[in-house]
Amino acid sequence: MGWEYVYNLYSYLGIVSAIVAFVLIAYLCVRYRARSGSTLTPTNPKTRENRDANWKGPIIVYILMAIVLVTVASQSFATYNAFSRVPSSPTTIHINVVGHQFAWTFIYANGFVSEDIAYVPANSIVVFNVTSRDVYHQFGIPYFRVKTDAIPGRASPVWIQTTDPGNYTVQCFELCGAGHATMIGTLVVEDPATFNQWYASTGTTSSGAGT
Amino acid sequence: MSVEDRLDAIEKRLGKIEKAVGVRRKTGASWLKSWLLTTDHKQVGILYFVTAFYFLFLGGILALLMRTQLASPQNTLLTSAAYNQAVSMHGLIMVLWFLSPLGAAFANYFVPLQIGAKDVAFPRFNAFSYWMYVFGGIVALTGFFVPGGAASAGWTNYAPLSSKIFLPGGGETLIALGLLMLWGSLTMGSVNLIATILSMRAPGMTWIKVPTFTWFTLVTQLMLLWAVPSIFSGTLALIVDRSLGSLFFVSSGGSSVLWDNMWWFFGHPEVYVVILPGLGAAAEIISVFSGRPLYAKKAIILSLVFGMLPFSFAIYGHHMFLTGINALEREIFTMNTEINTIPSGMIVICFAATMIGGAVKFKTPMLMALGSIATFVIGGVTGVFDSSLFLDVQLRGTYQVVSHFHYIMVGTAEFALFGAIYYWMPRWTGRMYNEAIGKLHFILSFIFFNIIFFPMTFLLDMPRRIYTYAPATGWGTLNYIETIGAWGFGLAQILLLYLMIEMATFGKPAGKNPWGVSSPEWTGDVESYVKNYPAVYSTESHALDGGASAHAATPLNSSPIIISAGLAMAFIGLVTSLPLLLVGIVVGVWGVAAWFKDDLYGLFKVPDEPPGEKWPFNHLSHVKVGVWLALAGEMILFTAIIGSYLFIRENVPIWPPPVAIHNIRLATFNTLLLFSSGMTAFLALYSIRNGNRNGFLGWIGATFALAASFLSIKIIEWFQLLTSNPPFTIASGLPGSTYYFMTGIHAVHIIVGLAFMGFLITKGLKGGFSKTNYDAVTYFALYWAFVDIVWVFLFPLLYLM
Repeated sequence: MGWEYVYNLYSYLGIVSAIVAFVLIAYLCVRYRARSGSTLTPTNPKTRENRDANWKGPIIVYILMAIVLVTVASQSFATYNAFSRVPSSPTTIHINVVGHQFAWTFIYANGFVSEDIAYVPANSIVVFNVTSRDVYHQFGIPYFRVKTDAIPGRASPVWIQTTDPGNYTVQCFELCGAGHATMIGTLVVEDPATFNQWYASTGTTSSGAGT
Repeated sequence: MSVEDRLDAIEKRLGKIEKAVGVRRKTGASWLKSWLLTTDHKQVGILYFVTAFYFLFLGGILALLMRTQLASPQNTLLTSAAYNQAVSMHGLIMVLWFLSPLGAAFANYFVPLQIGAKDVAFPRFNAFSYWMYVFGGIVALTGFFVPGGAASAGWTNYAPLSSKIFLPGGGETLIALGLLMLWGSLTMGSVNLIATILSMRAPGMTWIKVPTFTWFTLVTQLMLLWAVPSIFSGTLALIVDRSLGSLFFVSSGGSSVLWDNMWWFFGHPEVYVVILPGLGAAAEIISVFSGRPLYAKKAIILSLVFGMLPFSFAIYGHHMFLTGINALEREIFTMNTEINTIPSGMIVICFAATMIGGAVKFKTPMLMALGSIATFVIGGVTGVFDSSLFLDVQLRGTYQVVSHFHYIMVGTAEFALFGAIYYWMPRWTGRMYNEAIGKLHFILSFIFFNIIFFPMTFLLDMPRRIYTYAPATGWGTLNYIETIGAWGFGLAQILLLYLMIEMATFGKPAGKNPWGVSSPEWTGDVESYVKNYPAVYSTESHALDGGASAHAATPLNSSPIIISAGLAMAFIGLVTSLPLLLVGIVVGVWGVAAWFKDDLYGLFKVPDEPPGEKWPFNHLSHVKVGVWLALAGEMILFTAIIGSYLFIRENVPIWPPPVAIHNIRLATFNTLLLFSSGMTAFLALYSIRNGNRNGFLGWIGATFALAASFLSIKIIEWFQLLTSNPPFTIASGLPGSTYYFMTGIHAVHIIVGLAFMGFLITKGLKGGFSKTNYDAVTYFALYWAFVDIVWVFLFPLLYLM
């Protein structure tokens, strides 16, 4: 029930709906094209009827679209409800993220501060508490399909479930000034043992790394 | 000597003034003058049309610059600062200075013709709307020539990036000032068109007979009337922030989320404002070229009025899913957005179903209209993705969104409006375009359009508004293809330019009615249209004799252009140089004085209102309908301001008690003065209604004195606060910012009321009002009652809570 599931559901139903609409339009265009010698002209008495109060077609479209939309919306709500609850786990890592022109500051629970690079363990839950200290930014990690606004004076949380070790892009998704395009950080997912060793060594120092 | 005689005598005596203020009959004016000073709806429509294309050219150049920059990773054509200006100005110009004015151009020209009105309800205000739009655009574009460059905070101008701390250059102030003028233009335009459609329809033009394009225009303008005041107050607050140092968008009490709310409450309805005129035209085009009446017109209109109109507002929160609004709000906005897809989808299907039983001719306008609904299907489907609160967590801020709204804005709106050009321009110019080149224009535009925007649907990771990206992202190939598409699309528009020149100058004569349409804008014959309805396609009555010539030319007037030019000079001067500011103020005041002078001596005469269909406003004149509409707009303005105040109060934990700051006793006394003036204003109205002219002058004089006292005491109050210790200023905190902002706007309304009363007193002294002729007094009394009612809310909010 992840993001891809909902995206694919929207895609399938969207493509089917679009094809139905296109086929209908194309069929009507071909079926009712003006033919040479056609007796159907704008002044033909056959066309002089009142179509204003035609309800059957609109109601059918209403019902069909409502069915599609209720389906996708209900799936959105269900997945969103799951997503808005952070799964409890003893190894959850909390990181405060402060966006500023034009970098991300990651602040760990032990006070360790890192600029533009965040180290997290593999196969665990990581909660980012995102805010900003100057303008409107948006904190996004495309690989994990998460994003949240970084607004001065407000904190918004977002969480990910890390998987394999590796480097993932953290990028700003809201125009925030001249350096917007290069406001890119890195999320380094490490083997849990390596991470724990590293994290323990940061407890005593509070100096930044990689600034 | 009757009043009318006396006024006539005055008018004769003041022939000199007539010359000075440039009021002339249309005949005899030079070509340039007849365009600059026109108040004729058809000429104003053409002015809108030509100006909109000028802005399309500018916005298109900016788009090509951006696309060329993005063609390959780490391209160096544009710097990041230049790119940010291009992306911001491209959005603002295309949406606000090209697409919606192009819809307004057709509305101006064809709505009065379609409903059989002689002109719009307020021709002078119509010209004023146009000049405010033009000069607002000039103010905005001046940004390119000031240090720091043009606006670069995105078309949404998100706070606090748009504040002076982060963008100290003049460009951001200029765009806010330009937008302020545009909001004024849009509000006047919407009051005008709504009043026209509500109360100036020809006899027999009942609501169901009103042509589809006029219906879509009505809904568009209702959206504007209710949406613009919100962003008007927001823009004003941004200007005050940037020029006087208030703190609305720089402190955490107001800031980003306040602007988000104000912007998107306008911004989402604006999307519908952009597409609906085009869709309305597409409906007529599809009907005409299929030779069949529109399918299910009643259902379409009901969906528009009860679906899209309210829901275009009820969904604005979907732009704010990630700002930390709570889960229930997100679900409501998701639901509303998806509900709003239904009327849109239904309209597309009904448009297509119009072809059933017809003989479809694929002329260029028809191809454009079909292209429009086809892209609307794609844009609609991709839009449903973005409506999902869960998918939005990933899609927000990416090129998927860029693809979606360009499918709606370029695909749906622009293709439909292009169709409208080919369909209606022969009606303006009497000349046809070359059909083969027209079809080529459609085919090239449609193919290149999809080459630009279809690949973007799959750039789910690429952020919007970035000027560069790394090669490793893998976005290079798709971006390269999109750039080729963009150049192709841009160059294809040369064909459109050629065909427009052909239609304007050397094309084959179109004849009176090349498409064989029977709606009245073509036949000039409203009577047979309403009689023959719904069998509207009869060829018997295509005489144009009642058409263009039957619409008497409205007089020329120079006030609209002078006031707008003065305002633009003052606004540019505010950012660049003080002398220009002063010159602008003088010019503006001169224009306003000329406007009042024309009214005083009855120099600006428009034809009397003919009898017609006015349901449900059978007993109101079109002027009164306009006044009520303007007051409705004002009401929303103050609702937005008071709503923002409450929002700030809720978000600021510590708010000093007003007793500690304000002189409550003085303020209470002042409030009593204002309420008394409300009473005397109505006594003035009753006096003149009973024919008591002296009583009227006495009471209106008393109202003037009371209002002037209120304003004087208000100024004393401000002075005391500014010199108190510590000083309570607009920059000393949110209590100061909100207090001065709200009382300041109210004071501006008092000053406008004083000017209005000055006009009434002058006209009254000249004997200009009588028992039967006192409309202006009624409008003043309504306005003044409104100003009093606003104070009923402001007083407790600011002084007692």
